[in-house]
This record gives sequence, structure tokens and C-alpha cells, in this order.
Amino acid sequence: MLRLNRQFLFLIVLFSFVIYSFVYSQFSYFGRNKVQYSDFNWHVIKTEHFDIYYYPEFTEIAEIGAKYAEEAYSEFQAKFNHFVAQRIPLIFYNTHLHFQQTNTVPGLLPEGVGGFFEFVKGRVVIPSDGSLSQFRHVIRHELVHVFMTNKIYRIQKDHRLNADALPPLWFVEGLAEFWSTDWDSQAEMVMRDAVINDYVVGLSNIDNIYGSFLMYKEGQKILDYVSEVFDEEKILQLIENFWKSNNFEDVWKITLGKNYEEFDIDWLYALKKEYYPYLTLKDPPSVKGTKITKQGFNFSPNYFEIGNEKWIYFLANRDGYSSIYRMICDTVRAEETAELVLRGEKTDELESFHLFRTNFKISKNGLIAFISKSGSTDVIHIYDIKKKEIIHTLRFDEIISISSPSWSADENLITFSSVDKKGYADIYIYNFTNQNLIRLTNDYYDDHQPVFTPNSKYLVFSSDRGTGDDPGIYNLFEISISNLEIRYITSTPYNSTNPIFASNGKGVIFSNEYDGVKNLWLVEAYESSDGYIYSNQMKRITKFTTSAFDANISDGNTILFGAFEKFSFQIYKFENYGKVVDSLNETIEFKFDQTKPIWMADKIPALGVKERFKYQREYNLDIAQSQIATNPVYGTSGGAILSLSDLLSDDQYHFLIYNNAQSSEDFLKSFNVAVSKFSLGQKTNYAYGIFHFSGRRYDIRDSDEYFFERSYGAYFALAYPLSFFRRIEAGISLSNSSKEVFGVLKNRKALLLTNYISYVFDNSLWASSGPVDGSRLLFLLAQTNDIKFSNVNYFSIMADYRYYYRLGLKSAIASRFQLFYNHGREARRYFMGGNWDLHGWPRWSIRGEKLWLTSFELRFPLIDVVSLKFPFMNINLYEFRGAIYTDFGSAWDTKYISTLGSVGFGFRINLFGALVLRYDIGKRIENNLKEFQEGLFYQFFFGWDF
Amino acid sequence: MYGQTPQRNFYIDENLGDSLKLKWEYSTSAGTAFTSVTAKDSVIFIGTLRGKVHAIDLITGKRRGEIDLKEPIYSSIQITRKEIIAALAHGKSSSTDIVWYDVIDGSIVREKKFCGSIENEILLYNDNLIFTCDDGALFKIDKYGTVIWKINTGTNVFSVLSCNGEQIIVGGIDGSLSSFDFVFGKLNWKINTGAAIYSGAIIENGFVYTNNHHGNVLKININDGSIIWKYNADSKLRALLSYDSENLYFGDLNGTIYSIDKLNGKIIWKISSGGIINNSILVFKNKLVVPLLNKLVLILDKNNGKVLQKIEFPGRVKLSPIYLNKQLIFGCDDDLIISYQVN
Repeated sequence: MLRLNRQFLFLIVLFSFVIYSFVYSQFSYFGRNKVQYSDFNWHVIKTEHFDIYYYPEFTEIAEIGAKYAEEAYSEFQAKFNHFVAQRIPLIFYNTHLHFQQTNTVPGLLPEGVGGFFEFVKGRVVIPSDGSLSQFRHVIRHELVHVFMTNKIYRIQKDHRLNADALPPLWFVEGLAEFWSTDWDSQAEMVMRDAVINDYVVGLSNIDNIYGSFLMYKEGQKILDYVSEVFDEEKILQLIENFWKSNNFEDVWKITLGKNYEEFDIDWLYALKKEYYPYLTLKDPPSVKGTKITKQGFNFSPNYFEIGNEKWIYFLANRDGYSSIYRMICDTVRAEETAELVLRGEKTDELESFHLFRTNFKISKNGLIAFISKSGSTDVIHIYDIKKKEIIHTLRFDEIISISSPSWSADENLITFSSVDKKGYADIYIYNFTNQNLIRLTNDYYDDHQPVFTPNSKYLVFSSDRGTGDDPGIYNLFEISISNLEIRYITSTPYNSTNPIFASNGKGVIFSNEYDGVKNLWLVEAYESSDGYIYSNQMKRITKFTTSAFDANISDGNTILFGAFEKFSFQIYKFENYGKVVDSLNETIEFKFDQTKPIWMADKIPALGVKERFKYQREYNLDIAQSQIATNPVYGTSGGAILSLSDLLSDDQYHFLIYNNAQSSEDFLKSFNVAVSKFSLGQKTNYAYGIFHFSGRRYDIRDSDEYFFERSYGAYFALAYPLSFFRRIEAGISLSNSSKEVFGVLKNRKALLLTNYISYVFDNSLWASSGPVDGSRLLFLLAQTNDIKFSNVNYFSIMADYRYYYRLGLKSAIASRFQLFYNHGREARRYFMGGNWDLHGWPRWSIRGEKLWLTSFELRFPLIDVVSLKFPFMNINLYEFRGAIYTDFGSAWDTKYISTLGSVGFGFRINLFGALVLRYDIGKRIENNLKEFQEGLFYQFFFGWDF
Repeated sequence: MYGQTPQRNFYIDENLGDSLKLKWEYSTSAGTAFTSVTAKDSVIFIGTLRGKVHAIDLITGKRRGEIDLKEPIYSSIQITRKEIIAALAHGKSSSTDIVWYDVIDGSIVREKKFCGSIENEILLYNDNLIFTCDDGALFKIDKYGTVIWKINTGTNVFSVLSCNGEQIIVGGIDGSLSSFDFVFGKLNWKINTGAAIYSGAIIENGFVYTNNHHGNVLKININDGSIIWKYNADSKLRALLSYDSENLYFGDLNGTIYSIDKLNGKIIWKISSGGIINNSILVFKNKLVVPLLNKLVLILDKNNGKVLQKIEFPGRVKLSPIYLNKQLIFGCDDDLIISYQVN
């Protein structure tokens, strides 16, 4: 007789999912760790419309952010013609490293996420990165989301329509960018490249680039076009007409009078008119420069000679991990000589190289100074090229994130930019001789990318500390190391970044956005007795359509640089730049106006603050889900789950309740209740709870299988992360169990005490259907005892190791070695069978108190994309993958029975990032691996690759 | 009707008392547009964006009736001797634009389709109905629904129409303000105000007053469309202007409330309210009643803008208030019509 619990399996699954979603890796099988390194002493500022959560170390930046938020609110209120009736929680972090520790979302936050607005509690979570202009941009971007979402919600609600509907992602993100910031060089770079290289997509095919950065920028550009051609008010009308159709294209047509296809004709033509003329005056990087790298994303080229060999060292992601590579500086041989120098993102020491945020430099004697995240902060590693090892690591107490290290000529000093606990991005020098750290600037201006002058007495750096006319515009400055005096080098209303000195020391080469994208320019300089004298003009070096940045000198007159072309970041070289400068003969004069004061950031005025206080936890509902089921056999039953958490989701409560009584007499004793608390706000995460479960059960892990059980008790579990990749878990539970087995006269009572401890390691890299690189390990020891009746007494060992040997970008050989061992009285069984483990065998049919399994699987890509065009919509299915596998294993209680196996091939497809479908064909290997089954097996199911 | 008369007048020639006491609340179970309730014989009518028309007892706040027309209603309900008239908005397509409902018999008398979606205030003048569709077609129909004339305004129209029996004034989102002959529909004049008109125009004593999305307020000679003066407010204007014998009163999307001299367009006073003003201000002899989207209604001293009273509402105050039987009637989120007794 099957237990009614089957009807509530989904509730339990949902409960488990809820817990998993809130707990992510800490209490699940593998997974990495969101480590709470910092104890955030949260405080709150209440302004007119916002509750701003911050910690006192960066109060000033938080107050500036509060002002930005209120200004944005006022502007968007009029722009959206809408009032957000609820107070908006804004949660600020002083760096991206701290931001990654937030519990407001359950998963790990990639480095590319600059902030987010989440729908459960309506929270806006934003990191500062040292740049006030970027901080302002992100605040405005997220507030556009808040206003748009809130307005559409109200419109839908007023019309009594589905209040969860939202416009397509390209519109949502395009609007957030369009109304939060001006069109910038990065956007221009991407769009120019897309149009010139013919990969821009129109609205009718925009799903093809779903979720990509190109989609964000195209969305922004589309709305810019609508604003220009139709009027900006049409954008608001699109939102206000949202109720008119479930299909956004209909709304588009009703509002603008054109469907997507008709709109594309005009818009794509307008793009060509705008960007094609660039080719008459400028050239793509590959035309005037020489492309060296050809695959992956490559940045920060550095030239270094070892004997007669000329190498380029660079940062790149070529296989899913950001790492340091090198290749011979030869356009013909470069790619074939590419080799890995240091692998990032796989070890505790080199957790992340911040590919898009920083660069590195090599000293004259071959010491690479580079940045990686290591534990709670960034560190500077010194890698000796000749010794091929890291010889030094620098970590500083007050500094959280670091970028752009650069050497002095004599290698005794290193300069870098850092963001400290106050959120200030400032310049530092570290002296290797006396191990002193010197701070050169100390304010909220964003000072970064410092380099030494050839005489090492000054630093040249990029900063937004300009005059009041252009707050947020970056120019180059020089600072004296001796007296900290700062002076302008450049003065243009276009950003100047990435300075380096020319090899002859007679100029500074840098990127400037004069023509809408970054190109390389030169400011001539010479050294005098009083310091460096800089020219008051800049001379053009490159005239590329898309970009040039991260410049570095290779030998004499050759510049190595990074550029964006055909939607990839590659490294190029540019020879004889001195001659090019002369031939282009294009100069821009600087206009220095020393009369204007430096701009100052306004903080929220005192009158604008309603209240300030220390954060106190207040809980509200996150999820409430109920179910009632009825059937003619078991009658009606119902249950619910509820989850509460505080505003920061550091503390969570989960409640499960359901009743599966089959008669009114059973009602009270058939209540199933579980209450758990999860505490995630500190480094050691822990959970505890109480439960009462009662009812008929069919449990394939139990030797009795069919029984009635009532159990109640409590548990405590903790997870201590040793690093991003490794953790220790432990737990204890005590439950009073009373079991009646069906079919036999067996009543078993027990007071079960279970203890376990485990070690988990995971640095795997995932492709679309499962891991393709790295490894995963779980090792667990446990003991379960009946401390009252001695009816149960067994120990458990679980060892599960998986290793992924990378063959290519998306292919790998995956291996799995599992040993699960329970031994003792009433030991529970493990199970396998099915295409999650032992392919070909009936699902979960192989059971035993001991189990081993070994699998090998070759994973490879099959079809990149399948497009289905229906009259009413298009669907694109990406990454059909294939697998060839073999498995061996067995399960037994006391006596080993037989080794089973399987061999075959299969297909996998990831549906919309949520679900992997798998279909396998093969043969079982039976009778102790002596014979193959007759015929083939066919298995279809869902689930990620192991 | 919206604004009491076809010329759109939000002035009440009385002093508003000091004491306001909550009298009743009524739930419409769906949101409303930025319009107002209309009333006849102690019954209030309001249409919702869900498509229902509610009849509410003015004294008790109880439901007197409800009809379901299934399409959103943006305009105020027009009332004749025995019929109510509702104009419907819709998404992609619909079979009906205007419905006549006999409140005595309790049945739909006729329903007709004319054009696209009607998403602004319609006009009832001497049994004639004047309305625009979102595509800019301007109609005049008789009480039987027969089209008297139809013309194309050349622009999308979402603003409030006004009429003095001789001319119909229409503001378009291309910034145009047009005057059409009431009898024949002929264009009298057309001017460009410089930005989209979402509010509409009011007519008073031979002049037209309008505002637009660039914050401009204009006084125009109704005879030839010439601009008498122009005032620049600080932000976008979406609400129809209100006036008394001397001044104009209005608010912008940044929450600033203005009083300007009707004669010369000079500012008398302006105050910051912190909300959004999306609907017309109700003007009394002594006070102004200002509905705000930040869940407040402000009662201001008309002479200097001083805030005399602040009433907090459960949601955004969307409807332009009306004054009837010593009651102030408001409408707000979530789906509420609220009456305050004035003493």
C-alpha cells in the first residue's frame, strides 16, 4: 500500500528546493561556497523614499549614494509618471568583493554582475567600486528597474490582468541603461563593431542574443532610436500600453505603428547610415594593427624577452578560467605557442583574476605583479618568470580590492590602486626594501591605473578629480611621491585611461575617448630638473573604428594593445607608432582652467534623513505555497510551506506543514510539521530545527520499505567554509522513531542519534549540461545509534570523487568514483540505476547497504543551435550535446552479489537554463560483466551530468 | 461630467469648510484611469479599467448597481436623462467602442464600434457625443449613435476634449492644439505648442488655456489661435488646468503646485508637494483640493499655497475630486472611492 506521502512528495521536494535555494551550496552535496568573511555591522539611513543599508566604514559613500538615489527618484517619478508607494530598500556594499557575500540572493554572484533588483523583497543591492560616477549609474539603472516593474505591476493590477508579466529582457535592460546613463564608449564600441561586422540583429531576431551584453546595448540603442525618431514619450507609452496584449510585439505595433519587422527595416538602415561612414575615416584594429591572439578573451599584453625569445604575457579566459598565458610575439606562430602560465579560479590562492577590471605588469627582470582574489580580499602576487613560481604575496589589512599594479624601474617599489573599507579608490606604493605601504591619495575621487615615471619620482594615473564642469570624466594626472602635489597632464571632456610611458621616456601613451571609443594617444614629455614637462596637447596614435586600450610597449616602436573586434577581445600589435603619429598629424589641445575648483560630491543633506539607526532584524514572508490534493482512494489532504527572512536574508525560517490523515480519527496524529532556522550572516553557517513526521511511507532506502512511521525530533547542522572551494560540514540529529512494518508483525521503536562530518571540495567548471573541468570531492563519516533500545546501530562512509579531464573548449572526459558504505543494524540502503548513475538499469532498482560505482563519460558538443520558426514565434534551442559512457558498480547488503555495468551513448539538451533533458541508448553488461544484454536500452529523463 | 461642464471647469463657488470627516469607502475591485466620478440624483458613477461601471449611492456609499462591459473604461461616465454612456478602450481589437445603458430598464440600449481605442475623456453636449480615438479620429455622433461628422486630427489624441458649443478644442501628442467647428467639424485653426499635450484644454471667456509635456502653459485666443502668453513650469504637465476668476492652478510631475495670473501668466506662488499631480485640482472660493500620487490630498490656502490640511489615503489618489452634497469624493489605489463629509 503506497503512502499518501507520494501526493505530498512535491511539497517535500519544494521544501527541499526552498531550503536549497536559500542555502545553495552549504547544505547540499557539492557546490562552492559563499563565504562570509566580513562581519557587516549594518546600519540604516531612512530618507524620504529609501531605506539604505550600509556599514559604518563607508558612511560617506553611502550618504552620497543616498543623495544619488533621491535625485534619481525625483527624476524617474516624472519620467515614469509614477509614484512607488512602498519604501525601497537599498543595500550598499563598499566593494564588489563584499557584494559577493550578500545573502539577498541564494546563488553565487559572478563578477560581471554590477548590481541587481530582486523581486522577493523588492531589494536593490549595489556595490560601490571606488568610482562615484559608476556608483551613480548603477543606482539609477536599478531604480529604473524598480519604477518600471512597479508601474507595470500597477497597470496590470488595475486592469485585473496577470500582475507578474514583464516586457522582454532586451526592453527591460535597454530601458534601464537608456534612462540611467549617457551613451558611453563601451556601448559605442559594441554597436560599431556589431554593425560594421554585420552581426547586429534586429528586433525580430533579438532572442538569438538573449541575455548577452550585445542584447543590453542593442536594447539601449533601440530605445535611443525610438526617442529620436518617435519621441521619448513613446517609451513611456509602451509601458502604459503594456496591458493591451500578452505579446509585446503587439504593444510595440499599437504604440509605434510598426511591428518588429517593419521597425527593423528602418532601424537597421539607420544604424548602417550612422556607422558605415566610420570606415571612410577609420579602420578596424585588424586592418591597421596585426592580430596576435585569435581565441578567447585576452587582455593586458606585456612584452618580455627570455634570451632570444620574445614573449607576450597576458591575462585571458580561453577555456572558462581566467588565467595568465604567454605566447611568442610572432603573428604567425603566436597561437600555436600559447601556453598557460598560471591557472586561475581553481585554487584558493588564485580564486579570481578580475579579468575585466585590472591589468598586470612585468618588471625588467621578469617579475610579474598581478592581482587575484584570495580569501576575503585581493592580494598582489609576484611571479618569477624564470623560477616559474610565485615568490611573494602581498595582502594589506585596510585594503579590500586592488587593481593595476606597476613596477618602478629598479623593482624596489610597486604602485597600485585600491579600494579600502571607506570605499575610496586611491593610489598606494609598496616598498619592498622596508616593507612600508604608503598611501598617496585619500579621498573619494577614483584614482587608478598608476604607473611610475622613468625616474620613479612621480606617478602618472587616471582619475576623475577634475573641475566642476566634468564630474565623472577621467583625465591623467601626475603626483609627486615626495610632496604629494598633484597636477593635470590631460584636460579633455573625454575619458583618458591606461597611461604608460613610451620606451624612450619621452611621452605618455594612453587611451582617450575623443572619438566615442578608446583609441591610443600620446602626450609628449621630457624630464627637467624640476620634474617632467608635459605637452599641452595630445597626438593621435590609432584611429580605429572600435577600440584600443591596455597599451604596452614591446620593443622600441611597437605597441601591444587590446582591442575589441567581431565581438571578441584580442591582442594586437602596432608597429612604428612614432611614424604613424607624425603621418596622422592629428592633435587636440588641452584647455586647462585652474580657476575652477575640483568637483565635490553632495551627500544627502541632514534634512533629507528621516532616521538613522542600527539594523535590527525584522522578518517578512518570502514564499508561501500551499497544496490541496484529493483522490478517491485516500481522500483529501493538504499542506503548505512558508519561508520568512530578514531584510538581508541572513536569518531564514522555513515552515512545512501538511496533513495526510485518511480518516478523521487520524487527523491529529497525521500532522507533519518541520520548522527550521538557517543562519547565514557569519562565516560558519548553521541551521537547526524540529520536526514531526507521521504517516505511511514507502522508502527504498529502508530495508523494510513499506511501513508506518512516526518520528519527531530536532537537528543541528553547520557548514564551515575553508575557502571558496572547500568546506567542512557537520551535524547532529536526535529523533524518536516508531515504526510499524506492513505485512509482518514488526514494531520498531528507536531513539536515533545521528552524527556526521564531511569534507567537500568543488572547483568544477560547468558547460551547458554539466561539468567539463575541475574536480569535486565529498567525503563523509556518520554514525547512527538507537540510544534507547539499541534497535539501530550503523556507521556510514561516503566517498564521492569526480574528475573532469578537459579535451577542448566544450568537451571533456568525466570520471566518477563512488563508494557508499553503511554497516550495522538496520543500516539504510543506497540505490542506483537509471541515467543519473548506472545507465540502462531500471531507475533506483539496485540497492544495498554498500554501493560502489565507477563511471567514465566522454562529453562533447553536437549541434550548436536548432532554430524552430513557427508562424507565431521562434524558438532557439542551444547546445545539443552528446556523450559516450560506461559505468560499473554494484550494491549489496551483506554479501557481494555481482558487478553490473553499462555502455552506450546519449544526447543532452539544456532547456532555457533550467532543465537538462537526457536520452540514452546502450547495452547493459550483466552477469558480472560477462555478457551484454540482448537488444538495447532506451532511457529518457531529466537531470544534469554528474 | 469631468470638470462639470464641456468647457471643463473645476471651480466650486463656495467656501470649503475646515472639517473633513470620512463618510464612506467603496471598493470598485479594479483600478481606475485618471478621471473622475460623475453623478446624478445622488448616484455616483465610475468606470474601471477592468470594464465595470459602478453605481454608488452618494449618501451611504453602498452599491446601487454594476454592469460589466468587459473592456477598460478611461473616460468618466456620461449621464443623460435615463442613460449612462461609457466609452471603451481596448488592446488589439474589439467590437464595441461606446455603450448606451438604460438605467431605468437596466439594459444595454445600443453599442457601437467607431474606431480604435478611446482612452481619453469624451464630451456630451446637447445630446451629441464628441470623442477621439487613439489614432486621432474625431467624431461627433448623435444620441442614436449616428455619425454626424468624422474628421482626422492628424495626430494621436489622449487629452481631454473641451467645447463651448461653437468650437471643439483638441490637443494632440504631436504638440498641436486645434479648434474644430462644432457644427461641421471644419478646422478653424491649429497651432503648435512645442510638446505633446496629454492634459487637454479648458475654455473660459473666449480664451483657451492648455499645457504640455515641456511644462509650458499657454493662453490662447479662441477666435484665431494666437498665443497671448506662455509660462514655463519646472517639469512636465499632465493634468488639466483649473481656474477661478483670477488665476490658474495646476501641478506638475515633480510635485510643484502653481498659481499663476490668468491675465498675464505671471507666477503668484508655487510650492513643492513631494508628490506627482496627475489630475485636476478642485478650486473653491478659499481653498484648493489637490490630489497627489504619493497617497496624499493637500488642502491649500488658495491665496498663498499654504498647506492647511493633509489627508493620507491608502493608495495613490488618482481621480480628480468632485464636490457634491457637502461631500468630497476621491478615488485612490487600491480600487477605492472615498467620500469625506465637509463641515
